Amino acid sequence: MRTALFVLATEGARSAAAPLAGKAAFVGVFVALLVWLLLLPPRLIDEQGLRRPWWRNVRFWAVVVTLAQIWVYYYWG
Amino acid sequence: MDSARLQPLDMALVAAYLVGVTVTGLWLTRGVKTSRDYFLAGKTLPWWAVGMSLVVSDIGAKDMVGLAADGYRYGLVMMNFDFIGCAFPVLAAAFLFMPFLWIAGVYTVPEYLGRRYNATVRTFFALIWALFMMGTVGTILVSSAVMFEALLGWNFWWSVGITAVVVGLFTTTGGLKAVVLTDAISCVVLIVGASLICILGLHRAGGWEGIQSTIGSMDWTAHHFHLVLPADHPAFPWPAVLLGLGFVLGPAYWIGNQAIVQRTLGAGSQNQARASFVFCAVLKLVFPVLLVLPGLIGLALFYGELGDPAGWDEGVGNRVLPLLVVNLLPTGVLGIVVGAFMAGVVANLDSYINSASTLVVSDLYRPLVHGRTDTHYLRVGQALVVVFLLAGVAFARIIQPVFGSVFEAFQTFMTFFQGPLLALLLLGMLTRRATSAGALAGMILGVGTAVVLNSARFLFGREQGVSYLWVAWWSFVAAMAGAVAVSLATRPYDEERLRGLVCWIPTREEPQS
Repeated sequence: MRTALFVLATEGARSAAAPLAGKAAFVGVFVALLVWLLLLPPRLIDEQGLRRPWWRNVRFWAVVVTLAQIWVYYYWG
Repeated sequence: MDSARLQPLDMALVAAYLVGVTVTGLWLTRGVKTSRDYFLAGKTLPWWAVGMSLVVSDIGAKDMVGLAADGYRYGLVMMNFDFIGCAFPVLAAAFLFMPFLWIAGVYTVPEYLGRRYNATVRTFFALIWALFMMGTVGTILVSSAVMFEALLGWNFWWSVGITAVVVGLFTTTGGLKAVVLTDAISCVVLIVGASLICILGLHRAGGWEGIQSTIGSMDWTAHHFHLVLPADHPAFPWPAVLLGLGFVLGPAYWIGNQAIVQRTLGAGSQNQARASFVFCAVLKLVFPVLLVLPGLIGLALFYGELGDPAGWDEGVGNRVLPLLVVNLLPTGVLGIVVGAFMAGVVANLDSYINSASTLVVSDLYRPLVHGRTDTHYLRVGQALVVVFLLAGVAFARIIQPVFGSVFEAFQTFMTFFQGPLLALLLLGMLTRRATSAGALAGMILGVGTAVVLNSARFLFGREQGVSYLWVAWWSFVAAMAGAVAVSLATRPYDEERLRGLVCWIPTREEPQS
């Protein structure tokens, strides 16, 4: 038996406009995260404040993850 | 039935995994001498193992079964649980929140709350976490039983019993070190197994283009290839996903979940703990694809058999993954995938019972029965692992018929207290002004709001219920409002009382830069 939930889901999906605002909001969250990561002081990146090569730099990998998320929401949002 | 018989090669691969994990786990019990060794692995864990353990503590059998079903029903939107619900909070936790817990030198999240607020808040959340973890253990056991029944023809109690015994063998004696290092093995097996399902499924369905074309031709799948759904979508409207999942459930899980936090506290240093979180975020870029894609493959290949989810009876969704496994995988590969599923069960289960034991000993037992030897607390922790396993087995039977989706059951458990917990953690870590009276008011208001909103589904039926994403958001808002209002009306703590517990007041040893 078709439940009310899925009737609503199907009708909602057909009638609603593309959620451009939603897509912008998700991308915006990750852009804000990216800016925050880039501006983080060194003491929050490394206990001893050491500069490490890029492949051992946690900030670098965090930025890679964030850029990947921005692309995912931009493309698939 | 979707059941298949494992061939000797499959059985050999499954046995190799089970024996390998059990022997490794038992071998690692040698170093366990103190309660710190047992509960925090003596703070010696490497970042890569903690990172992999974080992933499989979050993703297990329940997600493999549940997300395949929901991927069939809703499509790519389910990936949000590992994108906005994971990457964002994990990175925030790595650089902002984890250092506090590390510097505070606590074993558990309620212990931090106890120091920041008072013993009542600590006890309340410790009790609620203990209940939640028991429910989670039950949820994991149900999803494993569904899969084993479908694949191997085992009955419910046989599946539950085997799983409990295998996990209990090394978790009871080995503690966090055995759990985390066996989790790393399980993570690799899980990635290989889930990848094989996706690769073989894509091949059978005519590649990604074939899937898009088949699903696109259906009249109810307009949003199956979008992560962001319209604001009026009844199940996953984007504002609820962003606010409820991205801003409350995700952060509460990754910042406040004992099973997660305990792993990072067991890392060798603060840098290792931070690296483990970031490594987890990197791995989590792949997992949503591995978990949701099988649902879309199942929709493209087995729509004729499974039909429109609008007409599904209870439990039909849980057949999506077993159907794929049984129909797509050849001998040998089937063994690897069954091994991967067992890896998900074992890793998930051992994480939760180990953390539940740590929490009960640290936050409930030790404050009541203090002054005993360290060995005494170690033995109590080991005994509690067995108790939690048995309680989870009993709970598994209760939750099996109540919830339509195993994954939803897990989310529903979380919404009762994740919002209030996050509100108290954020206020505690980021503001000087939050007081214990405020925390108590926020806790009561937040949990009360979650109970009222969640009860709609039980009083008026599933169709009339409030989405758990909105429950999470509004319980968070209520807790925050209650805590702020009462804190402002009560006397603030002095600075010394908050040293090392609030972001802006570092410990004396920590340089102020």
